[in-house]
Amino acid sequence: MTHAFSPESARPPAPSPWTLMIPGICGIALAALLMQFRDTITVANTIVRDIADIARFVLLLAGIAGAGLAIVRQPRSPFLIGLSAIAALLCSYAVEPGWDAIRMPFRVLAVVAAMGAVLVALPTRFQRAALSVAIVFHFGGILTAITTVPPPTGGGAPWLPSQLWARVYRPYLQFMYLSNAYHFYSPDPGPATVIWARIEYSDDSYRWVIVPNREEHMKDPFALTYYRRLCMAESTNQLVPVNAITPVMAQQRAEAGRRIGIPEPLDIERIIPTAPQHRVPTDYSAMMISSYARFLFRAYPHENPAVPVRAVKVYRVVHLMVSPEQLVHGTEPTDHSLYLPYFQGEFNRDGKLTNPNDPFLYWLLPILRFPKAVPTASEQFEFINYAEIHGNRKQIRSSE
Amino acid sequence: MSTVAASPSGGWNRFWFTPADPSTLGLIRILTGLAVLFIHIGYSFDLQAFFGKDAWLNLDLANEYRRELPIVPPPTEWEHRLPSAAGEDPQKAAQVTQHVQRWGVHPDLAHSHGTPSWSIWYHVTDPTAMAWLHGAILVVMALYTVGFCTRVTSVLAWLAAMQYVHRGLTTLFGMDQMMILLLMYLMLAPSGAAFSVDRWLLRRGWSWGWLFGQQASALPDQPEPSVAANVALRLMQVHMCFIYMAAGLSKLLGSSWWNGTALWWAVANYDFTPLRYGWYADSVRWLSKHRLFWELFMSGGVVFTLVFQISFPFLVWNPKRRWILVAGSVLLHTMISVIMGLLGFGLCMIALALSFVPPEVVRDWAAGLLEPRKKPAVVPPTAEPALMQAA
Repeated sequence: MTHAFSPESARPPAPSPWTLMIPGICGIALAALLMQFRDTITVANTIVRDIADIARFVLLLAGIAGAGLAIVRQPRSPFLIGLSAIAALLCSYAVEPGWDAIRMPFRVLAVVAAMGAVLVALPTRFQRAALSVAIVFHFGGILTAITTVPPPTGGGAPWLPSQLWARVYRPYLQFMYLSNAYHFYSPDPGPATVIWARIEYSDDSYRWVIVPNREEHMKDPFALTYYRRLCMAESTNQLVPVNAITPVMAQQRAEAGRRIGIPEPLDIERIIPTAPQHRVPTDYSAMMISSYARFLFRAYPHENPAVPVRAVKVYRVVHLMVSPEQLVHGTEPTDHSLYLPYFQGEFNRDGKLTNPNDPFLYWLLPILRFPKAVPTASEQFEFINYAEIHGNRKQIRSSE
Repeated sequence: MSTVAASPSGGWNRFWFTPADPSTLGLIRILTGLAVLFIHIGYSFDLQAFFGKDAWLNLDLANEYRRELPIVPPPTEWEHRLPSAAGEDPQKAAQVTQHVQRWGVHPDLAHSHGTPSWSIWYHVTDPTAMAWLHGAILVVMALYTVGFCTRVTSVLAWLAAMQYVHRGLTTLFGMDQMMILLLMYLMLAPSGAAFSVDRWLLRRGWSWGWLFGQQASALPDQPEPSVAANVALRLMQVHMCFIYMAAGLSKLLGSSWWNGTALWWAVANYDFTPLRYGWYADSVRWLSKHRLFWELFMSGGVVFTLVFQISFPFLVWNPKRRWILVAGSVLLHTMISVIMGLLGFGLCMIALALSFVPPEVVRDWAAGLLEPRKKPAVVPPTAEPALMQAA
């Protein structure tokens, strides 16, 4: 077997790593200097500042390329790696202070490179020892992430991994995005959560938006545009475990329901006893719902641009899975009664609840199946969608 | 084995630091690169919706979350120490109230605030600039997949992928975790030393070989074994054992995994599965009408999943049984891909499982694929004299 490449001597010599590193680090240093004097330049002239910004950007990119290629050229030189640590640190000063999400990784890189320089300078035996410590630390973190999940039966997460997670490993695992616990489909595969939103316009028209729905959101071959929205909807489903319904809350909900024809929680509970009637989202989910409402407010304008969006009502909808018995007896997986909508609030343009005391807030507004008064061969039942009835109502305040 | 027993440190050193042929890494790089490329092409349709200023998770909230989220560890004693009283200072009292209202926890209970999230998308929010940057990232990922300047593009591909996962917090799932850990481990090793454009160019005397971190002057027929390749492969293998062990043991907490119905709740989930398609719905309906088959299928699936995931970390290290475990992993993730529609996740898990495939097997596969067995040339008898004459 022969190769077609020519002898090394016939080629142009590869550049010395120092001819890449030195100009590279100088370029980055110059960019950092330009950043330090940016305010002074701004005062002098904004055009000069813009030119200086472009120069800073070019110097930074060129400097990173030079320093990076020097390391690629000679990856085992402790001096070069040490210089690359300085280059990374300078990079963090060459970007605007407001760009903290870019400054931070540069500083982390500087620390890693400094440690790398020491590591490379060590004899093989110590290199292996240091790498072994790093490997043990790394998998200790993975184990911590796996074990900090509280068991579903209660009792909280184990104490030691939780302490290690919060005090030692969290920065590392989150920075590297290695924080998954890998508890796939456990403890049990659960139903999907979707979002229903009623976009209301100032001319009293409205539209319902379902997130995700395959027709609108399946855009790529992997259907990731759809699945990512499914994950997003799931982020509204983190719920406060203890959920006490006070008599006042129940009374307000019952009275408000009577006004628009929605059954009382106790009546709903008799029909679907397994579904919780009232579920409060955690602070995290509440924040996400607020952000999604804000997005929906902007993403679904009226056909007439002169008609603004007035409000967005959001429902977290648990789509129960059909059981084999139900399937055999003719219930379809999309049967309306398998959807459990929980009202999450009405939101304004900024994603703020228009009425934090809404009597329906976080209550189940189900779709119930009733026998038809005049059944036909094909349709023996009719559905009443109380979420839709609720959505169509005008604002009800608890004081009403 | 005797050496291992005699000297644990010797066994450890041999396990982690024996030079390994990077051919397996080359194959994993191609699969990972394809997954990474398709995953990020998917973002092209949603760049603004997921990463823009007014994205689903809007920039203000994302920034607030990464900078101010309180991290509250469990108490070091049996109970949380009481937060210090705000005292007479009304300003501090107001701050405490605001913090409690926003985050649901007293600020004094927080060990630290914020998460180490880093992404260019926290700062580049102009739609045109985002589109250009995203386009450049896709080019880098394509170059990485084909193995061009892999020493550089492997680092860039990891850096690029991190920008998306750190900004799109609420859109992520297991696939993204697998993708990141594959990119991370591949970045540590010469994953472009086999089955790559780099190697192809080096073999043809391309003079910029130093860009790949390789010595073109010493190119054997097979890629040069390296300690880094072995470390990367071992990291993948051990990590995969952790994944399966966690996935398997955590299922034992679920009642549906004990009563054998868990698989049903996975295959009958309308929002994930192809239940909307006639062929799939008919199969599921037929199965439901035949209780015995239903029970056999569901219980069989549950037993296979549990036994496979829990036993994998113990059995996979035996070379004789390894192919069964790798084949089982490929089967499991192909099924998940088809049934749950999670193609990207399946591809990443299969790539991870391939870390257990010996490099010589990979090279045999590649040889079979790239150089199909040549059929013996059949020369018609009548043409033979003419050929002889020409010779």
